[in-house]
Amino acid sequence: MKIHEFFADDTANGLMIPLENESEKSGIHDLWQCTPELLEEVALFIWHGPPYFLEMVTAIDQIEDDKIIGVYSFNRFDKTNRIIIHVPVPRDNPVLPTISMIFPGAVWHERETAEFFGITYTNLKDSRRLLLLDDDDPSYNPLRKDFK
Amino acid sequence: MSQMKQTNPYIDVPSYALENITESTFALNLGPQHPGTHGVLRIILEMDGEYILKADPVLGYGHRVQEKIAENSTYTQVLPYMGRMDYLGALLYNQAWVCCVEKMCGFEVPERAEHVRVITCELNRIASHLLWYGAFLLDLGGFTPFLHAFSDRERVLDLLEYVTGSRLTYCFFRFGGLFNDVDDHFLQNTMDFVEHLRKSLKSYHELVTGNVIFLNRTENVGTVDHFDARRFGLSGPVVRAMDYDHDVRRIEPYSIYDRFDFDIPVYKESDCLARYHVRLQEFEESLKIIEQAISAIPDGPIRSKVPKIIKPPRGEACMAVETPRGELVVYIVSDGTKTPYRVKYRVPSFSNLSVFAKLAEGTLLADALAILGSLDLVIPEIDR
Repeated sequence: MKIHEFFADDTANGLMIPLENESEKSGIHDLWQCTPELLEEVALFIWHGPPYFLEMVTAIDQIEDDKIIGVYSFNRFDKTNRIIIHVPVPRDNPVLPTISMIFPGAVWHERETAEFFGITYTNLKDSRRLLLLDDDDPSYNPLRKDFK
Repeated sequence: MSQMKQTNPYIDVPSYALENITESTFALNLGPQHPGTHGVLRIILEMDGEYILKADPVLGYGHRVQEKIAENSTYTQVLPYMGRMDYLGALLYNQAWVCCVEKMCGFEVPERAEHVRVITCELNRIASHLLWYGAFLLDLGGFTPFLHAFSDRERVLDLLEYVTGSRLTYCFFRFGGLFNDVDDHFLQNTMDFVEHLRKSLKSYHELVTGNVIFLNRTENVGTVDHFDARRFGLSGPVVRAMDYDHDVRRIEPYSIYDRFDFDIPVYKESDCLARYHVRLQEFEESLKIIEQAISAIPDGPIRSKVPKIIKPPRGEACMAVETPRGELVVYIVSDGTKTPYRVKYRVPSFSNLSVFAKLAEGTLLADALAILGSLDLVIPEIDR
């Protein structure tokens, strides 16, 4: 079942929005935007389907819109179909659910994104810093646009 | 599909931070400076005698914030940084960046440039695998193959130095083509090298592959569970040794790889020995690609006209490339100005190392080093 069939109700309610994208030019075959509550359902849908694997978990700091967009990327082993999910959250208190109970590889990706952008991932058991120094204070987030 | 529904999707992921060291166990640092960790990687091990109870990799000793540097540089200024991330497969990183921007802007690359890109990238893959072969066997205790592999590697580095000017951290590709043209001297020497390496591969197999000590140290060591490839995002030879037929050059062809005839080696055993076999067979496939590319190379320009200041249109793009370690994805978000808005490098060694904590539990320390060697990590690309 394709992603737009499975999430047809949520698309109608406006919780899951397909973004405009030309897959030839961008290399992304399915570009969607969803809310943080739907993220676990999306991850379960991707796990139960054809052999998709977790490619990356990262974030974009949109300072003009006052949002941080969490970016989740999945790709397939047998033929290529890159799915990228954008999850926008407010910039002053960015909280996202973790997908590490379905994709344990996300633990490291989320640790890295958390320390660079200041995002809190709920239920992430191991939320220590990964690449930066351990004793920096938690508001030291280098990849934010207003970092000095 | 039904098999997938039976496995429970939820996995309880323990925290690998070392908390309780009891009286009978001790904590050991597989420290940042160690010949077996291929770079500055620190792993804190909780040991019970010689068995590892918990392994916790600590990263960041080589962290250079490449992604923030890219936000403050123009698209051309980022090009030398790509070679410094993975110094063993630098040309492939160059290709990922250059092809991503070319895709976003719609630049065409001339045929001759594409063929030269393929030839030099496959030579780089051979050089990287030769170093892996020498270092892996050095970790297991065999000193001789290291010297043979490096002697062959010197020939490859001489060839690439003749064309690009550097031995290790290349910056040879430009937007729309190449920096320099290649001449018949290079092509003839490459064909000679291909013949030479075919003979060397036979001697590598004779020296190592049937050796009883080598088999005892690598067979059934570091077996990765089949579904962990999906959960952790493994790629490259690690996943081709697990019965997944995944190679970006075949699945999502870029450049002109769809014109060449080469096989993808796939093994089922998922242990260190299978990964060794996959990489040794990849030598032969790369040699096949080089021969076909040299025989098909046309004459023509090596660089197409591109504007001086590169300003891709607003939007995002991904480019996936098969490096010797796995699938590299360069993800660029552009806002229409001459510097990128956000760049993310998804490096294969990061995902491949994240499964090490699970693999090393309950193994002997010597086996953990064999697993690290077979995963073929390059730490600067993990730390970026």
